[in-house]
Amino acid sequence: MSFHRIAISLVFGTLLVSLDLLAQPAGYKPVADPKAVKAKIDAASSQIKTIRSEFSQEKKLSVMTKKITSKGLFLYKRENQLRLEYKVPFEYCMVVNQSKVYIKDEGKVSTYDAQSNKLFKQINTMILASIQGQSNSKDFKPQFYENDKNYLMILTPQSKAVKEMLKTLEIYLDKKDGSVVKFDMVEPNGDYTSIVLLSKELNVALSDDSFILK
Amino acid sequence: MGKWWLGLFMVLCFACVKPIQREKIALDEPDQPTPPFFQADSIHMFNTQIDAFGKQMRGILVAKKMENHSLRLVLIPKTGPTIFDAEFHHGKFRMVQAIPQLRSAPVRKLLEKDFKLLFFAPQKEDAACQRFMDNEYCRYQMDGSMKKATYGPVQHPIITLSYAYDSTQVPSQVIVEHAQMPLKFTYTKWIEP
Repeated sequence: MSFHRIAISLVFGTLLVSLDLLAQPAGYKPVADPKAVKAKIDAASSQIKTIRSEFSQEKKLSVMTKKITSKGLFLYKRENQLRLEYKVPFEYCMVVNQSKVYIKDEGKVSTYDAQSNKLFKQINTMILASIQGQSNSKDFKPQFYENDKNYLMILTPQSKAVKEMLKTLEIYLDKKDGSVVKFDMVEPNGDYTSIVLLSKELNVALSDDSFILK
Repeated sequence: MGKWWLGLFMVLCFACVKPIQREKIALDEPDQPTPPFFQADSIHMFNTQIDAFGKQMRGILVAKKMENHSLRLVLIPKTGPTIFDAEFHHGKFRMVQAIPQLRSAPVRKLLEKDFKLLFFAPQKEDAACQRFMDNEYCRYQMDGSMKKATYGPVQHPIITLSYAYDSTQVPSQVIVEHAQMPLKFTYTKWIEP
């Protein structure tokens, strides 16, 4: 191999390694054995039947220097029951119950069928994928990273409809129990919604009534 | 042969016509938002309710005058990804990002027209009608705290904008209603705590 070829290979090799490092999320490194980690996450996730937690949401928009923050109560019951109840700074509640989506805003309840309403189907897919850590879903391609405390699963949507609304779903999972610590929905323009679960209780009794809005 | 000056005269005449036409368009459709919006603040936020064909959608509209003098309009739901992100730059409307349901040309045109009426319409004396975009635009004084504007033929407006005011110059609420379809947008001023 000529000197020029070696030099060019070195330059491109270094460039590719640098680009790979740049793509890597700060504070996380790629896992050594993605298959083993995937199996571990799936096994841990299958043990979680319910989650009750406070949540804090941050919405970052490129047009605003300040983030919009909101807080509330988060309930999840396997398979497809979810309640996001915003309490501060506005009262708003979204409930997903199988194929139904209920929204309560300023006292008025609206019901949607997630199967027939494309928008809600897409939102439903994203949020449930985040909570359930769906590394097996055909809708997303996963990449795995880790640090001392958490696994970070970056899901890239595969369907065109979801891709148009979402660049990646970044799910932070607790290494101890496989439960979701935080999830970020990153949009194609870089804007994102970040939801952090706080004071989490796993596998507590949750009534089915919590997932119906009247 | 000897009429070369006539040709030159006609060329000069045509050369003069174009800038006058351009100036007329610029007068009718300003490329900067008109008062009272963006006088004291560069950003306005509205709690937004959309009633369309029996369905309802709510979110927060962020309207920001950017440093490059463009106007950015972003509608976000209280949960989930952005509904749309659009901008007016030099009078041209562009959809930066939108959910697939809002990408069709008719929806984009409808949003463009509504936002032009909301932020760019001439704010002259009440009851004064004038040409704006491709139709008549009239403003009416209702009572001390309410104003109305109509767009379209004076007797049968296509779009009606109802403004409510609190103590400030900026409306506390604007309702945009379409007469030809069951479509209503309610924008209520929202101040983040």
